[in-house]
Amino acid sequence: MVDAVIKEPLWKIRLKLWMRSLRTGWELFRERKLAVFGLGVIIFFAVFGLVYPLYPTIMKNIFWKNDPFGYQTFAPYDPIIGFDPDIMSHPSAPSFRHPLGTDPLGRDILSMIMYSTPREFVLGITAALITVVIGTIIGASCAYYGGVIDTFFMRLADIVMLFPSLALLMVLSAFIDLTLFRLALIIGMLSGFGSITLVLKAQALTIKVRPFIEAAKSTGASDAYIIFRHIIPNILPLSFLYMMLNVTGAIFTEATLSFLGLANIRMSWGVIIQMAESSGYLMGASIGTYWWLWLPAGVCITLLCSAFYFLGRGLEEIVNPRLRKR
Amino acid sequence: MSNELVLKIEGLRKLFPAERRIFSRTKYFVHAVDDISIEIKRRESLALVGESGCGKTTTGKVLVGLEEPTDGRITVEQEDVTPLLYENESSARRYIERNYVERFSKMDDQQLKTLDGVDGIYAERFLKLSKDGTKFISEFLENRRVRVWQLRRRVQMIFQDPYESLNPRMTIFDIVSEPLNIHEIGNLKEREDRVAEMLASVGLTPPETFMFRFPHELSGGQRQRVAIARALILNPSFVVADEPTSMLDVSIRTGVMKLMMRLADEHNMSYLYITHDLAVARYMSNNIAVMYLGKIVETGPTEEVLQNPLHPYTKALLAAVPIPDPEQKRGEPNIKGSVPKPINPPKRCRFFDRCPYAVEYCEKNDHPKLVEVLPNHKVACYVVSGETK
Amino acid sequence: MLLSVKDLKMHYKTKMGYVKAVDGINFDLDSGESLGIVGESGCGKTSISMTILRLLPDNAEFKAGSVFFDMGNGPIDLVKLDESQMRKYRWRGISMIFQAAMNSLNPVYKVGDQIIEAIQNHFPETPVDKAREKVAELFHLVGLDPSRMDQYPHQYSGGMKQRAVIAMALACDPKVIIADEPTTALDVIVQDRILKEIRKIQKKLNMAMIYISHDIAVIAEVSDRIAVMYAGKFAELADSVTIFKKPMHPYTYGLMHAFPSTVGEKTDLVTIPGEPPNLLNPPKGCRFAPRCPKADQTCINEEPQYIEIEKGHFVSCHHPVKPGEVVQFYEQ
Repeated sequence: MVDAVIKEPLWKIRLKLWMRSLRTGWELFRERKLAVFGLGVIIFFAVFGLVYPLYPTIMKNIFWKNDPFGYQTFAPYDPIIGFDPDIMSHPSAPSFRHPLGTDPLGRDILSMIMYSTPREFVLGITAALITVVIGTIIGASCAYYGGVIDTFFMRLADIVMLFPSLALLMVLSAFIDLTLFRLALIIGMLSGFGSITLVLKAQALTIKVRPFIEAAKSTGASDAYIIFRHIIPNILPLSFLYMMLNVTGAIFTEATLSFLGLANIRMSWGVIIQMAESSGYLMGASIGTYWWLWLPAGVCITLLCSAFYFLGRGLEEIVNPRLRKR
Repeated sequence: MSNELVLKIEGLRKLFPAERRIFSRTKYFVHAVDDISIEIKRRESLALVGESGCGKTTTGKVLVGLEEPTDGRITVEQEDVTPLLYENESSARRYIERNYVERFSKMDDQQLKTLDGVDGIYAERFLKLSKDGTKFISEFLENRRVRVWQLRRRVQMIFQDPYESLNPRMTIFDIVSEPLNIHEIGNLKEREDRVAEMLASVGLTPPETFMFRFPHELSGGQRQRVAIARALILNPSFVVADEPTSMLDVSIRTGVMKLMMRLADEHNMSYLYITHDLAVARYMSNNIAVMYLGKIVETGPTEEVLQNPLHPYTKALLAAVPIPDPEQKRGEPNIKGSVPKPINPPKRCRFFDRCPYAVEYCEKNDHPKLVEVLPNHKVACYVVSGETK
Repeated sequence: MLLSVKDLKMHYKTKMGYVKAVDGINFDLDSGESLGIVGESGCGKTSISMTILRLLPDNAEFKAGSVFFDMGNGPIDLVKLDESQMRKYRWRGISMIFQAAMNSLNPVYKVGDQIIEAIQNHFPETPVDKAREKVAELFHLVGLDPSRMDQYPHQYSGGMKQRAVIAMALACDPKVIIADEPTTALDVIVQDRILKEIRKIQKKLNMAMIYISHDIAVIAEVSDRIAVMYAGKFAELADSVTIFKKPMHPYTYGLMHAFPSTVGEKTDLVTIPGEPPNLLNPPKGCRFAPRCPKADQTCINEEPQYIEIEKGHFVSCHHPVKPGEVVQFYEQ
């Protein structure tokens, strides 16, 4: 007999192992400059969004210190109902009071952008999570069971992929009130049943034929056990990668829908641009004159989307050793 | 009880459809395993030897439930486990109907009482149920799920490739304790102790340095030891070892071979040792069965078969094995052509078109049955058994 | 001397440091002779051939040594040639039968065309019909039906593909062929035929061969001389009978006694304890010392010289096994 060989509780060891694999992953990740840049941008936006509550307070303390009336009754930095009465005409160009200017309704653009940031994150990540959970489970099950289940979900994926999802969302917007969460849910499901199942199924198929699956099966493991314990952990890195790429897609779709004014979202980057568009500031010469109405929001959308994309590509190289440079 | 039978295979057949048809019945089948019979006694090992594609691995996979048998009976420790190897219950029901109920119904009580072996056990049960076929079947299939599960505990498999048979994302502890986990044996503490003990006994000492590593951190030999530990942790009565040492380097291979023999002794268990290497088979088995195109062509005690091969195929196979001694000259393998695909093979000796001794008789008759030519040494060849004269 | 390798060193650069895959290899090869290099996986045996032919991956770093090759006009150091000059010697001077030969045929081209291409790459002036004649001749030589020239690789069986690859290696009448695990994936009967075929052709064309394999039995069958490689170095080199009857290096001794055989008495097999060393930082002294029952302090501290102990018998060991001595390996 061997006496107790494990001196620490199991969870502690697992935590350590997990930390270690994270560290080695980070070592690999660090070499990919673009991915590190992506991560940096994401962190920047996260902080940017999180400090939003401080922004009005700081501004008020600087510019409205001596105006007890305005300080108490109305909030010039509220992203939705804010209005700065001290400025003659709106939209106003960037100034010290409004670093990114104001929109035609007199709202502070920076405050709008900051306020939208966490919502973009929530939308993107929720949609991507839903996509990946659906895609992973369906992909793994299709690969493992094959047959009717496989055929059904693959044809469904074909249909979803062939169907223009933007058009579908437009039609849906007529019937459903597209709030942020509903939109995330719909975008998530649409891409979850779409191409991601194909990719993850292909990956799961390569796992399915490996002998450790047979080894588990011959020991008496149930189907669910094999799918969740053996197949999914092995395709999870790829799922995670697709999650990053899907965040991009979700934010993009939301921006498009908001721009078209089809989503019931009170404030987002897309809404900011839509505001500029609907008030006619995106036409003719005004597009250059009133650049602060659309450029900051546009830059934010582009930056955050590409950040997630770069992060995804960087992770892809780590997940898929064949892409790795020596 | 040293001569107790652990495994008995009778007339096992496994056909794979060679084509896929939707509306009509499949006409062409690959006869991967075609009517083979094997017996393994406790603590004895049988080597199943043959070239790639002869059906040796398929046989092993049927035994651990990775493939369904097409036909035949498999008995593990005096229990007919064939119904447990079918995926769905209706095939199992059909099997019992065909193999027991129909056969037993035709016999009278006296005849049923004279049956021996496994048949005897089931005949007795049949009589007890006053020859009620439906009752017999439902009793046979009682707790099928649970019994399938229990069967998996008794029969385990070691796979060829130690790099592929361990999940790269699991630690050694998770891999070895997986069978305990699946069979819900012991609590966490007990599992930890059991795994540590098992790792120590396969030579991975001290176990705590190995338990929380990942497979890619171990060498080939160490991985195969982990695979052995996983197979043995449930104390199986026999283990199907599918070329467990063919991917290992020579200097490490002997260690694994010796380990497997020692463990068989300690755990009172038998191996079905599947290999293409006759030299390894010599060291790992008491008995040997040489397979060619889904048939066993020669079987007997290992040393006897290797020193005195009778079947022309065994002779050729032995003559082709390189000898690690430059001074020893070996004979020329006397064989023609190459291995054909066993798709709907014609009704003649399977070895006919490659056999240097084949005569007309071999072509006119179906594949020969195994005949005991020397004590315990059976050969399936008309020429050797003298039937052609 | 046809080929003479002197103190060859080639290391792979990795993040963790240098993998010393080929670390001071010496051997000579005469025309018509066959040398077998036997070693375990990862000991660097394939890297030797890659270094000689200069078919190295990007992370390989040539460290030292020379490869003198004599095509009939005096020995030339292949190491000093540039890539375009080297191309002349590759395939025409030294050709190679690769490991996993089945995969070295391109599935979308006819087998014959692939060999013709190989010929025309090296002799661009050869007209197609001449090349076809040559291919037919080669097919004949390796025991393939020349009518199969216009078939695709998938129409060939494993053994036939192997023969086609051999034909391709012979296409430019090389002086030396390096066969890296030429029969590893094949069944014994096919393996036997292929080995005999290579042997026959070698005798007929008076070529020199280098066989590389992990299987001592295969090497014993085909080689005149055998080099036993361990962890990037040759442990022992001698003619094949001497290697088998009078092994001097304890590793060779262990290998000889670890290999099961179908003939002769069923002897107890030897287990060499431990694992081959990591070539990133191999042991400082003798590389086999940690696994060697005869090792003492000298072996651990000092690297043994690779010396000619008797004529044609090279050993690198501080305490060579004496004839008749029984080395007891300890079980783990």
